[in-house]
This record gives sequence, C-alpha cells and structure tokens, in this order.
Amino acid sequence: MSWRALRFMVIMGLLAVAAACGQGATTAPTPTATATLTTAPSPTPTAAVVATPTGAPKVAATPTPTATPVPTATPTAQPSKGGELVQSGSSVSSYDAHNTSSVADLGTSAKHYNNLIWNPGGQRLECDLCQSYEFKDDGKTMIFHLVPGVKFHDGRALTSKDVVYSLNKMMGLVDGVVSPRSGLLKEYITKMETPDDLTVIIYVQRPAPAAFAIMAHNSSAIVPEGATRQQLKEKPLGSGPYVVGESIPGAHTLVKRNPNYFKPGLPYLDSLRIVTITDTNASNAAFLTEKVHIRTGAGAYSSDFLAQLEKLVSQGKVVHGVRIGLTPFQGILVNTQHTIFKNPDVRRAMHLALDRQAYAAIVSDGRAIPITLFGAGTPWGRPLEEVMKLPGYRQPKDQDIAEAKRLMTVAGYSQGIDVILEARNSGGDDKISSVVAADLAKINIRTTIKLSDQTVLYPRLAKLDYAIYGGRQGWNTGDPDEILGSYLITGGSRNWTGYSSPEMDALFLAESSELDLAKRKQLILQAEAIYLRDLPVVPGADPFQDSGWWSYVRGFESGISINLEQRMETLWRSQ
Amino acid sequence: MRNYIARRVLLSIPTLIGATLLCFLILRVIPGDVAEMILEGEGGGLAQPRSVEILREELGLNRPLHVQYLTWVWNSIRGDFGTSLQTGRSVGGEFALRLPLTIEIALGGLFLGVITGIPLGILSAIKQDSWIDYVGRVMAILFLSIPGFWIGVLVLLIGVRSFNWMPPIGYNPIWANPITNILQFMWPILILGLHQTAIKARLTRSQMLEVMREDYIRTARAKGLAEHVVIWRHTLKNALIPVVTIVFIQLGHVFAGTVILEAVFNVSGMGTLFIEAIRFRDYTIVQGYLFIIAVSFLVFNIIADLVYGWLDPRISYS
Repeated sequence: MSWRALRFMVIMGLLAVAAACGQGATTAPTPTATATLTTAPSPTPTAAVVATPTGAPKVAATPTPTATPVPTATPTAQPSKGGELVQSGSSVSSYDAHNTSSVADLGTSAKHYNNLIWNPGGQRLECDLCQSYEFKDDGKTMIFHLVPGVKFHDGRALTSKDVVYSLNKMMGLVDGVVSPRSGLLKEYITKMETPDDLTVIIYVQRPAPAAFAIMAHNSSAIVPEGATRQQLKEKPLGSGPYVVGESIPGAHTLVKRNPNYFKPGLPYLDSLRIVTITDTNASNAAFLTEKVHIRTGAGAYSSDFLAQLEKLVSQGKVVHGVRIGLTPFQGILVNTQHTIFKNPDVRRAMHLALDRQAYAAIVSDGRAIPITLFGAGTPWGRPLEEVMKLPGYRQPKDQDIAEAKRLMTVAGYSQGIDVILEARNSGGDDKISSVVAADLAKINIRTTIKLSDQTVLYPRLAKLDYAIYGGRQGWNTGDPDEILGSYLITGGSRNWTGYSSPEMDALFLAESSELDLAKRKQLILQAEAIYLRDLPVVPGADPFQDSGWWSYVRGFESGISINLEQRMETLWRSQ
Repeated sequence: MRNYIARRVLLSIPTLIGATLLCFLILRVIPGDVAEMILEGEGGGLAQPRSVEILREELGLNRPLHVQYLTWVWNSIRGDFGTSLQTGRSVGGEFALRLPLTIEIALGGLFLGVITGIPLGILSAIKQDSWIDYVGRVMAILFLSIPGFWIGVLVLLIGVRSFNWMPPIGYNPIWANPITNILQFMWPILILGLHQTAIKARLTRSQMLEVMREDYIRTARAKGLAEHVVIWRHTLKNALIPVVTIVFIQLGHVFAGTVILEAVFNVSGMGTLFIEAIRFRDYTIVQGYLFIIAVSFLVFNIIADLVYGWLDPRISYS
C-alpha cells in the first residue's frame, strides 16, 4: 500500500470517528406537571403518605427512595438563622402565579406568596393565611378565619377582600382570563362573602375536598385586591416569606427574607438564590460540585447522574428524595368514537400487549412505576403487588399476547390493522410512541408514527380528530376530581377520548362530594375498575421525580409534587 | 469610494426588507403562539379558549399582519424593539443585558482563531508535506469536524468526575467580576476558537501555497532574497488578503454560533434568550434578534469588501 493511500485512510478514519462522536446535545428535560397529593379536609386533616416505590417489578436500576430527608444532625437540632442557599431553576417570565402554566415560574413565585390553604412539602394540608376553618351545611359552606396582622410586601394589610378578589381572579371573574391551573375552582364555588376583614365564607355547590387541593396549589396565590395581570407579571405582589432582591433574566433570581413575614421566626435564611441552568449536564455538574445546594425538578435523573449522586449519598453528603410523578395519563389515549377503537376488545388487546416493564426501561431508564388510573403504590392507587398480577401487567407477556391476539380475531381484525399513531415532537413523547408502536406490532396493529407540535396536535385531539395518541397528559392538583372530572366524565374539559359512561359520571359525583377519606378511596377504586374495564386510555408507567439536596440543607421536604414544595420558608443551613 | 459605500448601503435595504419579511412570516407560520404557550402548558388542555383570545388581543396578535409588520419595522429602525410578549420586559433591555456576553464569546473565539490559526496555516504551508504540515492539517480537520458542544460536555464531564470542578455559573460580566468572568468564559471561547482556528489555518495554508507558486515569488528567490523576507514581505501580505476578509464575514457567523455553547456553559447570552424565545413563540425577541443578525451580516460584508479593496490595490471601487 502506498504512503499516499495510507495517509488518506488515516484521515478518513479520523473523520469517521469525529463524525460518530458528534451526537446531538442533550437537552434539558421538559418539565411535566406533576400531581399533588391531597387529603380530604376533615376537622383533623390526616397526613398524606408519600409512596415509596418498594417492591417494584424487575426493572433496571430500581431505586430505594426516601421521600423525606435523613438528617445527619441530632433530631432535635434547632434551626439556625442566616445564610444563603442556592437552588437550580429557570428564569422567571412572570410573577403572575394565577396565569402562568410554567412550573418554573410557579416555583419561584411560591416564595413570594401565601395561599389560603397550603400543602407544605406535599405532606399535609394546613392553614396558611387562615388560622382555622369550619364547615357548615353538610360541607357546602366553608368558613375561613384569617390570621390577623398579615401584610403584603408593600406594607398593606391583607384582608378577606384580597382573598375573595384572588379567588375570583383565578376563576376568570375579574378580567375573563381563567387560571389554567386554579380555574377549576369555578366548578365548585358558587358564591363568596366577607362579613369582616378576617372572615371568608365560600359557598360550594357540593362538598368539595378537591377545592382544598386546588387552593393549596402554587398557582392559587393570594394577591392584593385590584392587582392586574400586567402588574403581577412584572413583580410579585405577595405576602410571602421572601421578597425580590435581584433578578437578572436568564441568570438568577435572588430572594431575600421578608422581615415582616407573619409567621414568627420565619424564614430562617437570609436569602435564597435561584440560578437559571437550562442544560441538564450543566445542572448535574453544578449540583455535584456544590455550586447548587438544592436540585428539584419535574423529571427523573439519568442513571449516569444517579450513579454520581449515590456515591455522595453513601458518604452522607447528599440526600436523594424520590417521589412518584403522578402523571396518570401516560400511555395510549384512544379515540373511543373511532370506527376501529370504539370496540372495547381492540382496546383490551392493546392493553394486554403493552409491556410496562419495557416501557419503563426505555421511556424512563427503568425508573418508573406501572399505572392503572393512578400510580401503583400511591395514595389513590392500588398496591404494586396487586397491580402486577393484573392482566396486562404480569410477566412474562406470553399469556397476555396470546389473549390479545384472540381478542383481535374476535373483533374481526385477525389480519391486523394499519393506523396512525399520533405523538408530540417534544417532552419524550417520541419515546413513548416508539415503545407503543413496537408492542402493538406484536398483535398486528401496524402503526405509522406521526409527530406533531403540541399546538397543532392538542386541538386535533380535543376534536377527536385522531385514532390513537402515544403520550401523556399531566395534571395539577393531585386530586382525583381533576382526573375524573376533566378526563373521564361525559363532556369533561379534557376528555380527549370521547369516553362516556353513566357509571363513571355517577361515581365522579359521589367521590367529589365525599369528605370521608376512606369512603372516597373506595369510590375511586370503583371508578378505577370501570376505567380498566373500558380503557379509554391504555395506561403505561409513571416516571419517578427526583430531588437532591446537600445534607446541610435542612427543613426541606421532598413532597409529592414540585408544585408544593417550593416556598422554602422553613429552609435553613446547619453549616 | 463614497459612491460605492452609498450604493452598497442602498442595496442593503431590499435585502434587509426581504430578511425581515421572511423572519416575520416564518414565525407566523409556526403553529401556536405565545398566548397559547403561556396558558396551555406542557400537559395541554389547561387554557380556556376565551382566555387565550383575551391574551392574544392584549398582546396585539389579532391585528392584521401587515400592520404588525410595519409597526415592528418602523419601531426597529428607531431602535425600539418593543417588549417581550412572554415577560413584558423591554427587548432592548434584554439585549443590552445579554449581548455583551455573547460578543465576548464570539470575539474571543474569533481572536483566538486568528492568533492561532494563521500562524498554524503559515507553518503548514512553509513546511508543506512535513510532519508539521500533517499534524496541522489533521488538527484542523478534527477541530472542524468535532462539534463544539460535544467538547463542552466533555469538559464538564471530566471536570466533575476527575476534579470535582466546573466553571463558574451565573451572570458574571467582565466589568463586574473579571476573574470569575475569565474562568467562566475561557471554555466556550476556547472551544469556539478551536473551530475558528481550523478555518483560518486551512484557508491561510491554501492561500500561502497559491501565492508561493506565483512567478514573482520565484523571482524574489532567484534574486537571492532571504527566505524569511520572501515569506513575510512578499508571500504573507498577499496570501492574507482573503483571510482578512473571511475574518470579517465570520463575525456574523460566530455571533449566531454561540447558542449551544452558551447552554452548555450556562452563559445567559443572546443564544439562550433566542432559544427560549422560539420555544415560547415570543415574536418580538426572535424578530429583534434576527434583525440584529441580518444588519450585522450586511454591515460586516460591506466592511469585508471595503477592507479587501483597501488591502488589494488592484481593486478599486468607483
């Protein structure tokens, strides 16, 4: 071989290596709305249990999550005042908590506002601006007694009129714009009164445990009467534990202690810095090198980052919190009015064919839990062991696949069918649709995946202009009312499957007004049974949501949802 | 010369109109708008259609397209890029905050490319077909081929895994925190500079080789001039003419090319602003940014032509 030829081959070889190495940049994951946990507002609200996904099926990298931090100091360590902590986040585009759907905006806004009811760390429902509440008329009248002496950051006193104004604004009764996340309140509230400056009376059309969950959401902030969307967009007008110190768009937001905060002794920190880091690798690196002390998010950590994290956990330097994401509608949404898919046998066949373990392994790197209507092992869901015995969930899949093929034959599709599988071109839905397509192919449902932008896709889904959709739909409050009432009742605002069942409609009304937690859960389980019988959605698996914080960060509760743990008023540094 | 400049400026106007019109229309063709993105959320179906309409009306998105376009162009010419549809903040203010950071990376990378690429190209040409030439050419191809963001991620990975270190994060302009600024910006500048080095090195080498084969160079050698005089006084000056003009043309490219590096190294520059604005369909930010890029390209191209004419006496603009 000549010297010239050898030279050419070496150069081409190096080029090939370089080209192979030039893969796409990792992108920051797209946050998905996660659910909040709620309890029924009984006179003594019970603590919500955060599920720990133990006993998970044989999937890769099964975590042993801890939902609450393991303190390294003595349990009786007293919070110390002062200092600053750094949290990773995103740039704030709006402080109008009512009218932004951005989880990042809500996370930052939460530090500046109070709610009427809140759910600190996702562990329990508590009064925030109220000091007590009571029910009358079989739960159709809720009376809240406000804490006296609360002031907004500008010194103005917070009164009942501000609370009513804020709730009206969320419901769209002030300027016509309904809060995308808290606007559900308008399904319950019929009237409100303010007999005095410290009393709010809310009349609901039926007893509404869900209303508490909605009011505890970060988007249900209490603002001054008369505050406009434009004013709130530019700066927060709240009463919360922190005031804005410095905000550099795209870089960081520094929030400082509110010296006039109404809760004695709080907040402990002098300041909290929320740095904007858009790239996942940079965010991981910043946390591992202690440039960021708290890393919360709305997604699961990659297995590579987890390996690094677990080293620090084993050294006692870092705490890793894991929670179930509570994204119930993840899998295959089915147009139940479609010629083919209105046949329940076809839907059951798809349900049997879907391999949830493979789904979890591919979509969520093995870090996910199977869903029925709610995540297995979550407060509203069934125990995981029970779920794993159900048809469609058990392993190996041979029996399920055989039964699925039989159902397809019974339905008259022994030769198979060709169908378009819709999917979003973002948020990881392409992975979901790939897994779905592969599993459906096993029972001769041949799919062509069609990726679309959500602004094009969602209106089509809403008009039932599709056959099947492989993806996910998030929720905000964690209350079953939102799932059943939006997605599953006849004519629900987000009923994108065309599903209609009188049984489901009746169960929704029953559970929606049930104040007893145990009874409500039974009703939910009945609804779930109907859901699994009718399958307007073929459920997949719900990914974990991770949080990490350095061990000297105290007072942080990794609760059930990123929408609940962001106020950080009890945060302090032990060193 | 004045006539030439005036003619070029006048000819730039239709180009600018075409660029702005294209940018404006393409954004409107993309499905969705900022009102939907603000209210809808990732899960979809959150916003009430009436709420979206109200917001759209407030943001002026329901006005006729030609009214929106002409208003925007007229204001832009006067330096008023409007306010961000998503945040309500002044677009000019956002640019003023972020542009210096992007300029620092872009100019730093370009400067690095010039001071390393040109000497590398000269050396490669002088030592043609020697091991120095091969090393230089392989390095140039490598730096051209390997994506900058990949190197950036590698820097982070090695830094964290091996040294428990990463560059500083946050907003650190050079006039406020010079040391922190250097520590943060040296990496994206270095990575961008590698790519620029490759471009300059290859171009300089090919130009040098071309000029070295000219008759007057042979004559200079035949006259007995020392080799370094032949190279530095006769060859280099002529070889660098196109290289210098390319440097000016590259100015526009490097500004646009900082986007991914800014994301990797967490620099809150124009690139990250641009990406976020596209995601949220924030028309005013995207249009303003593309307007600046278009004007920059036109200006730098005119400057490149003028410099070319100044360097090469054979060229005259009359």
